[in-house]
Amino acid sequence: MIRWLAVTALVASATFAGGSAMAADCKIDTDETDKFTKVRTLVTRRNSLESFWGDSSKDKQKDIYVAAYYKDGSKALQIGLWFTNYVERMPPDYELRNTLVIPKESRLLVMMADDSIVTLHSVNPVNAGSRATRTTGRVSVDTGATIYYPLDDDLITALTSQDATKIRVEAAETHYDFKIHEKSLGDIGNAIQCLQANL
Amino acid sequence: MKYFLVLLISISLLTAGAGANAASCKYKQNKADDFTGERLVKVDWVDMTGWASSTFNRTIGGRKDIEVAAESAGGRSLLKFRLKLSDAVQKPPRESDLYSALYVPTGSSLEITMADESKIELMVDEAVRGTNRAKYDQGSYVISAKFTVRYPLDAELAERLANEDVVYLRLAAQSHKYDFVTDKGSIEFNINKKGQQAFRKVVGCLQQAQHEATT
Repeated sequence: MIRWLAVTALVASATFAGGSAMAADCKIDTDETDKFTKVRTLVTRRNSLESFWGDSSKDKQKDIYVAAYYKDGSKALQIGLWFTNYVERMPPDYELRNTLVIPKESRLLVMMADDSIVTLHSVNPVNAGSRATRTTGRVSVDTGATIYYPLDDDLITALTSQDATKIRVEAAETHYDFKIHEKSLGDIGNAIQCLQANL
Repeated sequence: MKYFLVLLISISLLTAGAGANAASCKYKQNKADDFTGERLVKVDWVDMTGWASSTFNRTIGGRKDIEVAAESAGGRSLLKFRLKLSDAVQKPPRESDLYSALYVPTGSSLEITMADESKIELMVDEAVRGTNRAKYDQGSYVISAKFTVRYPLDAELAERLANEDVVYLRLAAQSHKYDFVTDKGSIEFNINKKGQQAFRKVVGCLQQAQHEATT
């Protein structure tokens, strides 16, 4: 049993280690042109900036994903947030509404390797709710949202010239901080370069 | 007998000194913010409720626990309270009952009575709704409310709180159906010996961290 567990762990770690090499590869998740409007949409593959396990503690887990996005001549950084809380009792419906609110023009702060900070502003307001699911013995409360931060030439230069180390996503009454995992330090710059290479 | 009295006095002096004792300060956070560079200080929670009130009747309602902490960021200080309350009722609650089970509107007051009988009043600057739950237990429904409420604190009031014991708390709040809140619209705590130095401790530790950051 222990041997199988060890083999599984080795396979998982090999897959995980391969992730950093793959992150540098340019992979496109969506490349389609609307048949009616002829508008092209291009999205790079989403990469998690957290470790394989996410940033987790006993009762909470949080993940952040990044991709570069292009539509109709505009480029943006696409940030996906995913939170899971584990609680004992099923929350009432009213508590599951508006759990993640990010107003338009909210900031995304990206700390670069030289400790300089690149600031982006969201273009779409986000008002996400949560979903509660009873699992074995407790309730899992999941919340997810995708936020778009437009990119201009200056931002692209700043974000692709060096690695990013930390991210702060500002929300309505709080902010969410993420330390970018070692395997993902170059993922923001790589996603933008991948997008540009495919335009 | 004389030795016993000396021992008692020594113990009480040691306990009294605990609030200002630097070594006893516990911080959840005491560092500069990565992005803004502002000093963030979060003093850890201190329980103000005696074990008796927090354990008696816990399963059938009547629970009333309070903890206090303090924090500062960007020159703004806050006094925080974490409350856990419960009440037992016979009928199952509707969602609207839970929604209105515990609410602290913006501008609600906190009246603190100090050991020297002076009073301090603070105001909530951000409304809070409790995390309100119901659980069927031994023939009744136990309604519980958990919430954290924050009161901005200026330097003058911090100085008073750090130098005197507290004996009574009256937090203004609303509850439409349950006994969390008295008819006067408040949650009241007669602070026992254990909790009377809690403000000295958390505010004293906050002041100490702020002082260390500036020197």
